Amino acid sequence: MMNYLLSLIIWTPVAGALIVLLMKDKQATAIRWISLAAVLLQLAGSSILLFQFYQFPESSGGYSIESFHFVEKANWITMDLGSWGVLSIDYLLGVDGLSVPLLWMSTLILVIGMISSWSITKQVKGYFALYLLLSSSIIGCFVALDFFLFYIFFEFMLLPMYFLIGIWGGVRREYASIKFFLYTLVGSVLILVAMIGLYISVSDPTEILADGRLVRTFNLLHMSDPANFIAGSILDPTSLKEWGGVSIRSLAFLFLFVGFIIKLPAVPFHTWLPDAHVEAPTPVSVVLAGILLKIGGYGLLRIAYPIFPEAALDYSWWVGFLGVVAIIYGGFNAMAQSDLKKLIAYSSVSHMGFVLLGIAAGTTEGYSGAVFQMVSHGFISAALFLIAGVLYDRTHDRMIENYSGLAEKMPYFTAVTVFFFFASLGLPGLSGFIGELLVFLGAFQSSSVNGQVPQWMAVLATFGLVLSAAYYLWTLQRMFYGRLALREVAWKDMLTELTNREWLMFIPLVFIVLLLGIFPHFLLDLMNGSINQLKELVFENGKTIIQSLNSGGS
Amino acid sequence: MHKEGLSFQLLEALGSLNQVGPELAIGAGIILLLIVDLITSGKRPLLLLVLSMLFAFVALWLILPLWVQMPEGGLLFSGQLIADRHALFSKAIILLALALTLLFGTGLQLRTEYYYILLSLTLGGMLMVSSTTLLSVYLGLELASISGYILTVFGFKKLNFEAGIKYLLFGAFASGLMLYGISLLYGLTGSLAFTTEAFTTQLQQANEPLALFAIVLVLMGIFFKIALFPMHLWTPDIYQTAPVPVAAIFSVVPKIGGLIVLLRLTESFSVVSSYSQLLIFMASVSIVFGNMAALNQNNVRRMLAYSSIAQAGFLVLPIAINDGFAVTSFYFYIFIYLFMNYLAFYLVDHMEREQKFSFNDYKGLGKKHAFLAVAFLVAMMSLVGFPPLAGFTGKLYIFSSLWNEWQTSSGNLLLIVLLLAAGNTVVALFYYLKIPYFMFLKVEEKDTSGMETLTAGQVMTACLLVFMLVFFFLKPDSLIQVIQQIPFPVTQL
Repeated sequence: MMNYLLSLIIWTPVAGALIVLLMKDKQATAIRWISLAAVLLQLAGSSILLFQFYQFPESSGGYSIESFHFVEKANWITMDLGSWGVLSIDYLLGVDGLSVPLLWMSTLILVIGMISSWSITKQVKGYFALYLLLSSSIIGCFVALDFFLFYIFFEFMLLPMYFLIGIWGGVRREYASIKFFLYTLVGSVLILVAMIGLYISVSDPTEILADGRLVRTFNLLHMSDPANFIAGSILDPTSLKEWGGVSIRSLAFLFLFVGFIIKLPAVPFHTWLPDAHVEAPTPVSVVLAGILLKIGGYGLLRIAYPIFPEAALDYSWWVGFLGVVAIIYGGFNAMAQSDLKKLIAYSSVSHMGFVLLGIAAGTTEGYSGAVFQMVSHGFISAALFLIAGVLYDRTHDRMIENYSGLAEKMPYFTAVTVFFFFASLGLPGLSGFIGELLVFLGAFQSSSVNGQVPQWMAVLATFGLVLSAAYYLWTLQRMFYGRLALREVAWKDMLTELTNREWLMFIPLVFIVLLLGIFPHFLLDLMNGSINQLKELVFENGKTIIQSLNSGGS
Repeated sequence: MHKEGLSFQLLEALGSLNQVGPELAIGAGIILLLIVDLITSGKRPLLLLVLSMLFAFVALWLILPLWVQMPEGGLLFSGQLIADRHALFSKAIILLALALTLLFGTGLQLRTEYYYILLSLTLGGMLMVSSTTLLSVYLGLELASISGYILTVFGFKKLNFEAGIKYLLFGAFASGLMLYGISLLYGLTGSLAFTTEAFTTQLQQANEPLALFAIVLVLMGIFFKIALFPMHLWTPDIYQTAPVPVAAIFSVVPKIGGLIVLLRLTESFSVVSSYSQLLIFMASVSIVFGNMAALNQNNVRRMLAYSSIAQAGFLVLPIAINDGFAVTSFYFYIFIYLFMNYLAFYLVDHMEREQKFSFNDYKGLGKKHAFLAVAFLVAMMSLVGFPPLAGFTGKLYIFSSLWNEWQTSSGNLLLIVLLLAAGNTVVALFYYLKIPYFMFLKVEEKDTSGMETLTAGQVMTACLLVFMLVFFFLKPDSLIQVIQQIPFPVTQL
């Protein structure tokens, strides 16, 4: 069973969805429990995986399939296309230190999202079936090592998300869902074009046909080795093909980069996010902010950077710059919001900027910080959207100015809110601090270690901390402190303390945010080996390619 | 042996007969149906339906031995036709389309003539795909067109006649252009047999602007059949007003007929230097135009019409590239296109029987008619090219063949085309998504409780089509293996 653990984690919710679809809409309770069981099984599976992972020795050697665990490989599609060669697509799964933390975080958030979905009463069957399909495709993204497989999961995710926002969302749900779909599809299409170029240019070194024809592969690890590019193909590192002065390899990198930062999202491709968040029902916001955004960052680290390392190094200034812009711009925007959910959405944009900056810095600290930030933001943003959901469930109003002095009425809720606001603004001792600290360290060192990003970017990014402190504290002051004043008197009775179900969602999050803040090595140890491998790969291959291009070009 | 003798020609014609079994079956079917219809004086539509279905399957069955025996195919009827695997594979698609069209028929109060005219449209398409001279191309094309003119008016409403006349006039115009082009080509090359070397060499030596002019004229006739810009003008009206099954068969049979003719012609025409660029350009324009025009439609069938103009562009791209990979991807996509398009029309047919024509009428139906709505979703997502459906795989191959060709070409034109085509899938998403959007996201205004659900038969047909789309996504290799048996390049004699 251990050999198929990843498959089980992926496909359990699909099985759950099928069961749910066979039931009647009236059996709402049963549907909820079955769905919860499915995501709990996912969490159990990923927890087993996590604990096993701590036992494994830190992987040594290069970035290759040997550094992955729980690998599953099966031939899916093999097509003989005559003289052109053979096209092979594998069902290839595996996890390393980069994907395991994200995987576990996702399964936990999915469970919490499921508990939060308990209050959904409209078209229950459809909702839970879609939620389960979404769970499957999310997990598929994190464990697929074949580009085709990854892309299928990556793209399929949009469909359940579209309906979840579009049917169960707020007033402007139709607009928000179609905007979300179109924006992210643009990203997918760019990724698709890069993917096509890649598989045509990469051959599988382990499979050579007797008659000397090539086997084209979608294997991400083969793509990450420059030696596997077919000589003379467009994406071959020595290829000189260019368009308007930009080499085609850089262009392909930009396609992947833009595709993933639309998902992340980074300025200027972020405008779908506030709309989607504001309209989405609470659990969908939780999943969207907690997990979906991370797939953008994960895609950069797993796909764009290892495959096009020289372009990644080339553009690191711009990557870092976009990160800083997102941090500052997102922060200022958050400060200007009057809708609590929008504020949190913009704070997400701001915090995802740190991921970009960390990746751009290219040091071990930078990469680790980026991943740490993704995991930590996954937990914190989930909690923040739950907080917004708590208020919205009670009054159907999220406007900041309509509340005041909530601390008086809901002291425990206020405590939880304060905790997560501080976690998000980077209070030492909580997980948000570690991620941002590592990113700063990486960005500061970068100019002396590898010269990827200048120091002023790190300095400017610290300003983002001040901004987040400002908008969070100001929100606290406006909504929670002072004298109790609400827009409508009737709200006084509606605003009750946290229910047991809500506590059930917050407690694990509080615990993990504290744990990661005080003992960050739980996470850092887990990913250190893989992050180092990845960094080495990007820098070694990147520098080699740049050198060979320079010597070839001059 | 001298080839002039009448007896020789007769013998050759007789010898050719065994290779046109499918055509003979359909031809015999037309005559038999005509007789049966006369005897029963038009009162047994169900009998005619069963008979047509029977002949469709007999013809399909007759393709199999030919496929096995004749990998290369031989010229028939003194070089007028060829029964190679290109022809056989496309005939199979045409016959499948016929069978699927007949599945619509039962609920429709059509006149019995419908069935044998449908068969003659099919026969026209089958002639087109096996033609090797411009004369037989024209013959097949006209047979398909004339049957088409009649079929378009089978709704017998005022709008049908308007659309029918438009189609007739426009078709006559296109035929005229094409005939003029053929005559010019004949003058330039002294031959109508366009697969011969003599034709190609003569064309190469001809005055290039003149040759290109003649080619463009011939292309106009073909573009008319495949509904490619700028000969698409008839499409929206016909798609909107013709009976749904007729619109469905129009979206596949003449299209594949025209496309295979184009494929064969491209082999010869590509000696004229700017021919491929011209074709790629027209295909790209068609994609952009079709998509842009589809954005603003309110009527479902008009949307499908404009989208089919864009899809025609997608299908012409690999033909313009004309290498092994591209042609494989072309066959894959057209085969999948048959299923997704028919699924769409099949569901539209049900909606129209419930008097639902525009997107607005679809509001909120997803709740009560979940199966119908999900089937619609599958059809639309496959047309967009969204995984996990075969439409995605088809588009992936076409894009791949563009990249692959770009690799060997010098400029960056094909990259631009690739980006344009890929970008257009986003545009396409917007309008294809309208149906699921209205069905699931909008709330119904009028009471639709009176609407009938799909019958068991309809559900089975829809399930079959959905299954095909999922199956060929999961196992595209099974289809590619068959397509790989089609020899490329197209035989030159």
